[in-house]
Order: sequence, then structure tokens, then C-alpha cells
Amino acid sequence: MRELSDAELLRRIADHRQEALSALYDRFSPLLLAVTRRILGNGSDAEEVVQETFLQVWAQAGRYDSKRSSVPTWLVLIARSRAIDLLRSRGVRERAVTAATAEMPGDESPRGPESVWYEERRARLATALEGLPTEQRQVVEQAFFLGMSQREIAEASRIPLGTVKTRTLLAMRKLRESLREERRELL
Amino acid sequence: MSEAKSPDEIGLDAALEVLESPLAELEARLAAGDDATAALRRQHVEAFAQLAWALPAAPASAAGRERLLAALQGDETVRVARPVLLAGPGGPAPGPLGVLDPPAPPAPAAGSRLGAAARAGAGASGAGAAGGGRRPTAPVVPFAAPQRSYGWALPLAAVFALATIGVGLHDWRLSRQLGETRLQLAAVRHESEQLAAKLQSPGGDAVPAMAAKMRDMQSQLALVTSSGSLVCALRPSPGTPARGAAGVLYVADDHQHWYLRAQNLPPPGEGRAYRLWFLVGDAPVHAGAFTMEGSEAVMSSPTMPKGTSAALITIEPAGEPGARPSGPVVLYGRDIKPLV
Repeated sequence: MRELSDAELLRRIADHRQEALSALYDRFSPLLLAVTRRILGNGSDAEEVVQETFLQVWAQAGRYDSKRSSVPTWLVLIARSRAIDLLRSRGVRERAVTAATAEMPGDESPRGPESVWYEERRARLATALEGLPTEQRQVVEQAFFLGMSQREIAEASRIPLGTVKTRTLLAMRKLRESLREERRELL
Repeated sequence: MSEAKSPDEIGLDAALEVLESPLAELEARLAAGDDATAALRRQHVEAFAQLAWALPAAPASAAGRERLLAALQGDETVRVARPVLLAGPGGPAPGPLGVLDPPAPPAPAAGSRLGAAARAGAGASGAGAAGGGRRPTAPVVPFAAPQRSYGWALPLAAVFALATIGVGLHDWRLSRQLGETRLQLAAVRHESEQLAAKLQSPGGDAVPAMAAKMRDMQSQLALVTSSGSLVCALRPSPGTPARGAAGVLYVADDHQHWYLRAQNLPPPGEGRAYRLWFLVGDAPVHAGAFTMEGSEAVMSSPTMPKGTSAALITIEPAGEPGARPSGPVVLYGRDIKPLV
């Protein structure tokens, strides 16, 4: 099961194959838990949201459309959206901002192929993000991890809305470009 | 009067609509708009989602899996034949998801146990699992059979070994050592040419296979001595069962021909084989399987997928490869440098 593609796993989950959900859980729960912990902090809420995400995937795998997003992105969007909804409903954004800036415990070492993929990709993305100016990195992180609108970011940062939009656009251009470049690293 | 938005701005605005939507509207926002807008939006949404991958991995908790199992067991649509999943007396107990639970953290044995449980749970054979779900990414990758020991090849092999050891143990001296290696290889080239002449002389025509191998080695020799070649040191992956192993991947300046030399890999185990994979973006592409001849193994091919960003060697079940590796990674490399 572990050798199957992400999309194939989803197809089998749509057919209610429990072992496919198990494989998807093994493959992506570390990623999703990292996202929910980044948003909600290290409490049990983060794990609860990951569980709810996989239950939603179990129920709605047939709705996945490969034309709209990749499988990992679809999963991340669901988990992120759930976490931010929870954040909003409980009014814990302030606590989450604090938690989001805290150092997160990381996996100590890659142990299998999935870990190597993760570490490989994490290293590339971390490098790409570090290459962004601080103010640009902040706006994309506030938008993604805190679910803040451009207007909310402008108000919180006390900068013009147009500046927020410009920073976001510049950050996304650089991020996309750096991702394209790093894929040519070896050849 | 407002200015027309650029495609970048259109895509970003559409992506932000997705990101700012509550969960209940997520699917609708992802599906909204025409095809052009959807394509622009997807680029930005995927780029935003990359932020998640920059976070350190957070190992999932066993408690979370227990709760997930409890929820699934209340779902009557589950099609897993539970008796098949149960281990025999003394065997491992089913995990929280009803399949044989992989040990945490994942270990080399995890793949085989989970795979066996998954095949049993699906009510299908391994062929079924390896069937339609494969990514169509595996290229045709012919590779040379492991070299046998020939007297005339020993000096050449020794020099290759020197190069490999130099890279594995002293990566910071990579350029200098490989420069020295080139000089040694030049001497060996002369010797090998003399041997080739002997093979072609009267009485030496009984060994066409040896002559073919000679050509292969000369081709490999040219690859590892070309100033335009690149080299990638493969190091043991953390947690690998092959901590003393090392490898070197040479890539010709055409970015197509490559040559791998691996050393000190332990026997992969009964029914298992070492496999080389190239990483293209995040997609693994199978490049071939190999076996060790003594403490060494070599592979070469004129085909390397465009966009390769890393190479790794894993232990996999023998036979047909899966679409992606499932066993432990033993060697791994992503930094590629000029040979000189």
C-alpha cells in the first residue's frame, strides 16, 4: 500500500478501503500535525483537528479533484481550514500567535522513504522561505497560518492595505520562482 | 479607473479567496471560476501550501490513531475483512486502524508488515497493489550488469574504489581527491587500451563479452574523467542499517549518462534488492536494481530524468518495482558538484 500514489490511495479510500486510509495517515499525518500545531499550538486541539481531517477524507475522498489541487495540498487546506475555524470559534488567535512563534519539536532523523521525502522537501522550502525579506515572509505566513485577510494583516501591522498586497504578491512570485529553480539543482 | 490585473494578481486574489474561506466553503471556492482563473489560482494555492512543508515534521501521536480507529469502527461501510487482518498466535496484534500497525517510528520492517497487512486487507495479491496506481514516471533505464573480476580490470576497479572512499569519508576534500583520481585514471586508461589491443589480437577473439565489458568500462572511465562531469556523494541515511556504506553518482555533462558506484552495503536480505531512485521534484523515479559483488556494486545508464534533484538507494522487495519506494533508505545524496 505504501508504494501507491497519493491519488490512488484516495481512490481506494473513496471505496472505503481502511488500509488505504491507514497508509495515507502514515504518509501525511506528520505534515498535517505540523500545520495544526503551527496554528493551534501544541495542545490536544491540533491532534483533534488532524483526526477530524482524516475522518473528512474518509467520508469525502470521492470529492477530490486533481484539477484543483494536488493531494497533499488538498489535505493541508482541509486541516488548515479546520484549525483556523477552531481558532476563530474559540477566540484563541492571540494564543496561537504566541504558539506559532515558538520553536516546534522536529523529527530527529529520517527513517524511511517518506521521512526522506519530507526532509528533502522541508529543506528546500525552508531555504526558499529564508530567502524572503522578513516583511514579505510575515505577510504570507499570517495569511496562511493565521487565516488573516489582507485587510486584517494591514490593520494588525498598521501598514497600508496596498503595501500588504504588494508584499504578498512579491513573496509569492519569489517563492514560486525559487521552487522552480531548486528543482534544477542537480540537473 | 482601475488598472487591469496581471495574471499573477488574478491568481493571488483567487488563492486568497480560498485561504480566507471557512471550511464549509472551501470546496466551493476551489471549484469556482473559469478554467483560466482556476489554473492561476492553483499555482498560488500550491505555492501557499508549500509553507506547510517548511515546518519540521511533527510525529503523529498514538492517541490520535486510537481515536481515529474508534470513529472508523462505527462506520458500517468499512470493507476490510477483519479476520484476515488478525495476526496469528504470537504474531503482531492489529494496529489501531485495523491493520498490522507499523512500529513507531517507521523502521525497515514496517514496510513489509504494513504491506502484508494491506494486501491481505484489500483481499488482493501484491500484483493488485502494484497495479493501476503506479505513477507513469519510471523511465527505461538500462544498466550494466555488475562487473566480474577480470585481471585487467583490477587496477581500474581499485582506482574507482579510491575515488569512492575519498568521497564518502572526506567529502570536504572532494574536489582535490577527485583531481588526483583523474591523474590515476589517466594512467589506467593507457593500461586498459593496451589490454584492449591484446583482446583484439589473434587468439584473443574468443572473448567478445569481455570486449563489450571493456567498452563499458572505457565509457565509464571517460565519464568519470571528463572535466564536464558532475559528482554526487551518497551518504548513509540517518537510521540506516548500512552506516558504513558509501556511494558516488557520476553524471556526464550531457546530464543523461550516469554511473553509480556503491560500497559496503550489507546483504539486503532474502527476497530483497537494492534499488536506485532519482528524485524529480517530489516524485521518485525508479532507476534500477542492483546486487552487490563482494563489497561493491556499479550501475550505469544513458538515461536520467530531467529535473532530478536527488538520488537515493533503498531496500525493496525483489521483482517488479513499485511506483515509489517502500523500504528503508540506505544511501542518499542531493548535493552535486563539478568533478574538478
